[in-house]
Formats: sequence, C-alpha cells, structure tokens
Amino acid sequence: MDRSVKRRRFVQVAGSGLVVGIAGCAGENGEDGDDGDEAGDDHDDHDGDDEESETDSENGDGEGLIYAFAPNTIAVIDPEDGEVVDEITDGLEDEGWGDPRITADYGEIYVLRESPSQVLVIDTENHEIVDEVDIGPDPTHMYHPNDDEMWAHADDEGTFYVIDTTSHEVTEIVESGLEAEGHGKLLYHEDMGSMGYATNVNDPAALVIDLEGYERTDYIELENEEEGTHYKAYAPETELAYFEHGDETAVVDTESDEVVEYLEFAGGMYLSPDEAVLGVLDGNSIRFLDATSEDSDELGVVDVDEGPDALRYHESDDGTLYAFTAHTQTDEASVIDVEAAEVVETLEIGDIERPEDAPFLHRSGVEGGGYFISPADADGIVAILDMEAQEVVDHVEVEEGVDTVQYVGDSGTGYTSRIR
Amino acid sequence: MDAISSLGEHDSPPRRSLLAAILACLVVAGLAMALVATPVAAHAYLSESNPANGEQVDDVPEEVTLYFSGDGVVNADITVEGPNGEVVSAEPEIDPGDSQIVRVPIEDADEEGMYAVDWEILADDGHTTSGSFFFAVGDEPLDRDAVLESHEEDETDESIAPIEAGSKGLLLVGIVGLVGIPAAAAVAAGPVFARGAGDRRASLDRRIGRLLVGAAVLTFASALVLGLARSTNLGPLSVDTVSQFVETPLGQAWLAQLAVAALVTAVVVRRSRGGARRPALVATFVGALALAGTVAWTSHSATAIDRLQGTIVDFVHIVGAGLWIGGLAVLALAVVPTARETAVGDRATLVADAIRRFSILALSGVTLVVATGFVLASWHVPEADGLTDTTYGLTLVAKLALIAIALGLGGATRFVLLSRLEPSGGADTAAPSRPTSTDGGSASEDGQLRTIGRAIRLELLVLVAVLLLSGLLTSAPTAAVAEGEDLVESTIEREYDDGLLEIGAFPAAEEADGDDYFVLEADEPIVFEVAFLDADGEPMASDQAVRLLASSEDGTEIEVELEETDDGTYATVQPLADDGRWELRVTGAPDGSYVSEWVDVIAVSPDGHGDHDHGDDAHDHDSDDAHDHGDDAHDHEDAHDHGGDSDDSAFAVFLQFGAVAVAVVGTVAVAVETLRVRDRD
Repeated sequence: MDRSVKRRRFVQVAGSGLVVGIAGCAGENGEDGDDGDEAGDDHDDHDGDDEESETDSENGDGEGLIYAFAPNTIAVIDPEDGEVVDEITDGLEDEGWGDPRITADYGEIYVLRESPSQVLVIDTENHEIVDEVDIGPDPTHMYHPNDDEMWAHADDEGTFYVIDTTSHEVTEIVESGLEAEGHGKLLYHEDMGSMGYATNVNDPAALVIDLEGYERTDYIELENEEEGTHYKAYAPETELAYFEHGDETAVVDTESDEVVEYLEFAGGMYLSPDEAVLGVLDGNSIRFLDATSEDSDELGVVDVDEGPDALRYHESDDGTLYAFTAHTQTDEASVIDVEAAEVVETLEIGDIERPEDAPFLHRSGVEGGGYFISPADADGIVAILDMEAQEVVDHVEVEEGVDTVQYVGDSGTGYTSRIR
Repeated sequence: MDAISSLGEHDSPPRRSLLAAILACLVVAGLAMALVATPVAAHAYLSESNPANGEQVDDVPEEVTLYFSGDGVVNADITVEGPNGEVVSAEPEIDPGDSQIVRVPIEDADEEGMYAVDWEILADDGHTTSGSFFFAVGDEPLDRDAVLESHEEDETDESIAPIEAGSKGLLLVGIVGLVGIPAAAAVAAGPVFARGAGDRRASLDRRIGRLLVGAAVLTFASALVLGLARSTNLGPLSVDTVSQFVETPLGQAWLAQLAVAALVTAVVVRRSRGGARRPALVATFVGALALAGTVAWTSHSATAIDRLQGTIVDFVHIVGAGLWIGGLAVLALAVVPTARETAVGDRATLVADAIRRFSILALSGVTLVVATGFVLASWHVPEADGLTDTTYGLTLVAKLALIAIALGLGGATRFVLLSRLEPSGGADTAAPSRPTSTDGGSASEDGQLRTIGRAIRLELLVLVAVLLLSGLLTSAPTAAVAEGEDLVESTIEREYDDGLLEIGAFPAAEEADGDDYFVLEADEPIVFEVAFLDADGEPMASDQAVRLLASSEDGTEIEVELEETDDGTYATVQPLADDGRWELRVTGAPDGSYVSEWVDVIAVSPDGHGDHDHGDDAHDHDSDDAHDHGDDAHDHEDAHDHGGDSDDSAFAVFLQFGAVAVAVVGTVAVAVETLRVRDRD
C-alpha cells in the first residue's frame, strides 16, 4: 500500500533512478532523475526564425518574461531588468514541479504539479493560475505536439493524458508503455505527420504512437531486453530517430521502423537550431554528431567535466555555433565552440543542491530572447546569461528550491521551451 | 429486656454522637465531592491496540496489546490468526497492574499479510464484549472484505440478562435493608419505643428481627444467583465454570460477598432466636457496609472510572440509599404495625416521634444518594442525549422519576401527614396546627395512622422499584460506553458526462451531508468504494486504474490504486492518519470518459464525534478543475473543535455542580432537622 506520496516517490525515485542511471539520465535531490527540460530538444519542427518573430510580435504582454517555479512561488522575471515583476503564490505550498510548456500562441503556460498530480494552467498575460487539470500519478514530462493539445505523461501508469488546450480537460488517455508503468517521453516532429514515438524506461522498445488515433500502434524491439528507452531525438534530414537504450543509442529508420545502428554511447540528446548537429551528453563529455549524416558521424568530443547538463545552442552574429551547458558539479556554465570542440568561457550561474545520497545530479536551463537561463535551487536564484556577449546579465533572487524555468516566447529550436 | 436495652438504652449520648457523626459525614462527603475532579468516562470497550486496527507494520510483533476502557478485564479470550488462517498467538495475559491491558504473545509467525485479532473479554461488571480487528505485516493493503467483516462481528453485549439484573436488584434491596434497618432501629424506632411498655418493645424487636432475617436471606440468595449467573459468561453453568469464575477478581469479590452475607445471615438468625441484640445490630450494620463495599468495588464506577474514587462514591450511594430506604422499611413494617398494637392515645405520639427521628436519617440518606447520584451520572451519562439514546439513560430517567415521587411522598408524610397526626408538635412550627383530638378521638387517630402507614408503604414500594431499576442500571453498559458506536455507511454522488460517480466510505462517523463531505474517524481503516454507474444504474468498468488521492491540511498525502471488486465497484481500505480536514480525489476512466472528482473529508478523533464544525468552510471542487486558488478556498481556520479527552461536557459539569449543591443544601437540612428533634426532645 502506498502510505504517502512522498514515500511512494522516494521508492519510485530509488527504482527509476536506478533504471535512469543505467540509461544514462541525470538526476538530483531524490527527484526523478530525468531532465524535463530536454524533452523537446531533440528535433526541430519550427519553420524558422522569421515565422517565430512574426509570432512573437502578434502576442501578448507577457512575452519576453521568464517564469521561475519555486516551492511556494512562481516568480515572473523580466530578464531585461533582471527583476521579479510579479509573483504567484496563492494556493502554492511546498510544490514540486515538472515540465512547463507554453502554448503556440504564448498565451498559456502549462506546468506539471507533482502532488496532487495536476497540470496548472497559467495565463501569461495576467500572470495567474487559471485552471488545474487532474491527471494520472507521477507526471514528469509534458509535450505540445499540436496547437490543441498537451500530452502529460503519468509515469506510474505509463500513459499520456491528453489535455485540450481550449477546454482544459483531459480528453484522451493514451497507453504508451507496454507494462502500464514507467517513466516516459514523447518524440514528435512535423515531418513525422501524425505518428510519434514514445520511450519508457521499463520497455526495451521504441513505442510507436498514433498521435491522432491516441493509441500505441506498434513498438520496435531493441536488442537488450534488460534495458528500457529514455532520451530520444530526431534528425529530419536523415529521418533517423535516436533512442537512448542502456549504455547504447539505438538509431531507427522512421521510414521502415527498423533499427539501423547502435551507437556505443548514450545520454541526453540536444539538436542544434539548424538541425545539423546533435549533442549527446556522455558522462563528463559532450559528443557532437552530424545529424545530417546517415552514419551519425562524430564531429567532435568536448571534455567538460563537472557534470554538463542542459545543453543549449546559440548561433552568434559571426555564424559560430556555441553550446551552453550548465554544470551539476559546480556553480558554473560552460560555453563551447562546437566547431572547435573546446570550452571558450565559463560563467557563474549559482549553485544547486547536491544531496550526498543522490545518484545523479541535474540542473535545468532554457534559452529565450538571446538569454541562457538556469535556476540554482541552493542559492534560490535564477541566472540570466547573455548568450551573444557570453556574460552574466543578472542573478535574480527568487526562493530557495527554484528549479524550473519557462521563457515566454520563442526559445528557438532544440531548446527546452520550444513549442514543438 | 434485651430488646429494650438494644433499642433504648444509652439513649441520649449515643444518639447525639451518632447524629454528630452523620453530620460530619455529610460535611465531609460534600466537601469531598466539591473537591473531586470527576474523571471522564471511557467511550469504548476496546479503546486502543498495538498494532492498531488497520496499522501496517514491517515485521510481525512479538505481542499484540489491547487497551480497554470502560470496565476492567477479568477474563480474556483472544486469538491472533496469521495470513494462512492458523492461530499464531499464545494465551493472553491480563496486566496484573492494570486490568484494562491485555497482552497476547505471538509465536512462530513471520509471514507477511493480514493478521486477524479476535477478542472476547469478560469485564469487571460481568459483561462480555467481543470484536475483532486487523493489522497487516508488510506492504500488502488491508482487505476490504476483512475490514467489513470485522465491523460486522464487532459487538458489545448491550443486552441485559434478566436473571442477572433481577438478582442484582434484589441484592441491592437486601443490602440496603441490612444497612438501614439497624440504623433506623438504633436512631429512630428504638429510642421512641424504649420509653414505653416492654411488650411493645418486644413486639417491635420481633418485627425488626424478621426484617433483618428477610433482608439477610434475600442478600445471600440474590448474591448466590448473581454470581452463578455471571459465571455463565464463561460457559454453561457447571462446577468447572464456577471454579473458573472464582479465579477471576470478579469471582473473588463474589466469594467475599457470599461469605459476608452468610455471616450476616447467621448473626441475624441467631439474634432472632434470642441472641444478643445490640452486638447483633452492630455486627449486621458492619456486615452490611462490607457487602456494600463489595458491590461498590465491582461497580461500573470503580472499574471504568477509578477504582478508589469510584468505589467510594458508589459505596456512599448505597449507604445513603440504605439509610433512607432501610429506615423506611422499619417505619413501614415495624413501627406503624407495632404502634397500632399500643394503647389508643400513644399510637400517634409513637409514630410521630419515630418519623421525626427517622427524618434525620432519611434526609441524610437522601443527601448522600442524590449528591453521589449526580456524580455517578456525570461519569456515566456525560452527554445529555445519553439520557434518551441509551438503555442506561432511559433506565436512569425512570429511576429519577420514581425517586421524585418517593421524595414527594416523603415530604408529604413529614410535613403534612405528620402535622395532622400530632397537633401539639410545638417544635414543628412550620406545620399547620390541626389537633387530631378535635377531630373525634381514636377513630380519627386510626384514620391518620392508616393514611400515614399507606403513604410510608407506598414510598417504600416506590423505592424498592428504584432499587430494582438500579439492578438493571448496573447490568447495562453505561451511556458513556454506549456512545460513539454509531458508525454508518456514507455515500457521496457526483454526476459526470453520462454517468454517476458514487463514492462510499465505511465506517463513517456521520452520514454525508448534502453530498459535500464525509465525516470519518481518523486512524480507523476506512473502506472507500467507488462505482461508476451508467444511466441504468449499472456499474461500469474503468479503462484506467481507479485511484484515490487523500491529502490532509497538514501535508500528509496518500495515493492508492483501488481494486476492482466482484460487484463491479472499486475499493480500497485506507486509514486517514490525522484528524482534521482532508481532501479526496477519485480518478478513473469509465467508458472512455476521464473522471476526476474531489470531495472533502473531516476526520474526527474517536472522541470528537459531534464536536466538529463543518459549516461554511467546505471548499468547492468542481468536477474538472477543482481547486480555487483564492485564499478563501482553502480556509482551514475554522477547523472543527476536537473536544479534548480531559474536557468535561457542559452537561457533566452541570451534574457535578448539582452534586455539590445537593451536598451543601442537604447538610444544612440535616442540621436543621437535627436541631428541631433535639429541641423537641
């Protein structure tokens, strides 16, 4: 019998943490070891900056702000001034947060509340919670595969709860996991049409999901029956999908749904804005792969040490592609010249909690408006970096425990806050 | 001459010292009652256990401990069955230092699963109670059917055995007689008749002797029957059963009671056959006090409240009744008949004098009875509704009504009939002067005597009925024990898209009010049952697991998956650990719909029934999105008041105040009456 959510979570974390650990996922503070923010990082289905800019200009007053989620406060930050301009506190008490997602029109942010398992809907114009949607237990990740729906994954059930973004009601429940439980993610891209793939740390398979039929239609068995699947990515140029599978990465041809290759490394995967480079967090190193290569050629490896996490890209004015990564072992972030495969700058972004018994550590980071934004729960601040200038803009004090952020606006492609 | 000496010699000095002693006793009793902080009566027989009902423990405990409130335990039959149905417990042991604690060792058990504890105990007051509870070892959830079954089997023996109640009532009649008859003989009848001729003294003595023999035989016989009846709680009546019974504290008290009753019987029989009168009276009185002590020692008050305090109050209650009722028996069955045999002119004087003297005893007895009665009522009927909702309360009301009638009759005798009987009673200035002699001599006097005789006999009859009702009272569970057992099934319904969601909770402390919230007992395994009903009322299966999330206002959260039952519902057993406000969320997916509903729960401590305030702060969850984030939506400030265990109810305080008031007023009345009699003498 589950005596309490806290206990249940602890047990599950211990269990899933082990699985996740094997799968190569980072974790911290006894929470799910997954990085919720990377979920949408692995592919690019945005049409480009021009369209995004047009979208930006059409939307509400809240655009350009940052929402930082702390246990008792949701702080609304203006990155330009480095100030908290508003706070939401009503009804919040010692909350645990999962993925936030912003709607395509930037009008609402959906964020997962751990307990009770819900999705809170925040009006970005008025900075207020406008709704709560009950979903299944243990939600960690949420996805926005089309303008009308949010897909929240309930790890205890291995199911997606599909929420209508107009009515704020659960309209469908999609059983994706083979064993009706397990931590999972969703991979989707406009090039895939109505089909998508799900991962589940309990299933040695890539799960084929019909996004319009709201069902799992098939699954692609992977070679190691002892390992599930976790991180995922999609390279539209090659139509290859990548699935973290134990200490390997299974590469699947999405045309034939067959495994074409197993890469000898695995970890969180992050696609560059031009969808040409795929960064893979391989321990203390970051491997950059050619996402346009059928053979997933390796472009370079950068030894970052200090536990790199939350990889984000920025293409500078001179055309150089830089990757920003927040460290889990220090209070810094590194700036990497991807082509040169070297760290060119380190910046102070505040510290995170590092419990002695935590199997893995994690820190999140998003990009938006030219900023790299990363929360530091131990210091209770949100660090804002100017990605072009590669310097710290501000450390905004919020509240201890702040560990999740969402940028209102376009976060570009391959970033946590991207739309799709 | 023995009779004369026994009833009349050493008239004034002993009488005065006795009166002084009574007065002192009254003052002491009044002060004692004023100072006594009356403890709160227990509310249930099995008040607690370790492991608790529904508790989950990691390992099989070495023993199960049961804590009983109410009466103490004299015999316990308790078994613990393991998950495979085998008995894993050894013989239960009653704690030698506290008979309300019983320990049951567990032997050779290490399996995980449900453990069932079936208990049946014989309490100090002779009642059998039984029930069962469960605990779980390991992570397995409690089984719904097992919990429901445990509530079906829980029973307290609230039936009243007629033989036991009858014999207890007769025992009280006998003891009261043995207390009051010697006292009245020494204080009221003896001094009056000692002044007259020897034959009337002898006649009075014979009558008193017969009364004493009757009371003693009645006491012995009823005590014998009562003990035998109680022994049958351990099994069919047999030598073995009686032997087993006499090994219990209750049985040992019974043996002592029988022995004293036999001695007293022997004394009074010997006295009636010409033995020494005065020592016999003293011995009888002392023996009667001892008998009253044995009854008080095994009373509800002694066993359920506090052994010493309860015994003292109950003892004083019985002795008070003895002074009043036993004395009345002397007046009705000895004084008046004897007076009617005397010369015409003396009759009225003899009876009037006896009544005056007896009135001191009667007032003393009434004061003690009523004052201690208030204290007893505050213990055993702590809430006013206990007077009407329980057998104990209803019996008490009937008893009080009869006592009121008896008091009315006594008052009429003392203040109306007595003044008519004795016109020249100068000391009684309050009474209207109405000389009987002017009414025509002996015929009128006889008429007055008959009237007063009938009034006294009627009063005596009423009071005997009171004693028989007392037998019934002492055989019934007190209202304090009977309260709080009122658990019900509670259901809340919510409509969703095309169906109806039914959420049931059992046991509930109250039925759901307006489908808004449950009132449940904290820390009690609650069976939550969920049904998704279609338009025809048929249950529908859920495509997804049906879940119950419970979160308390102080942060405790529980989430469980319900199991499908054979009847198409979904159920789980879940205790709510903390009292206070909880929120429940039920989710499921029947027939393609996703249903998520919130309901509020007020969890009350077992002693907190009826104290909670659940008026306007029950918050509103709508079907889909539930929480309102406004501060007002989660206003827990007006959480209900869980009356603390140590707080007396207003009704109980009122009764305690009544006890003190009666003690004070009664003491004054006795003093005044004593002065009147002394002045008249």
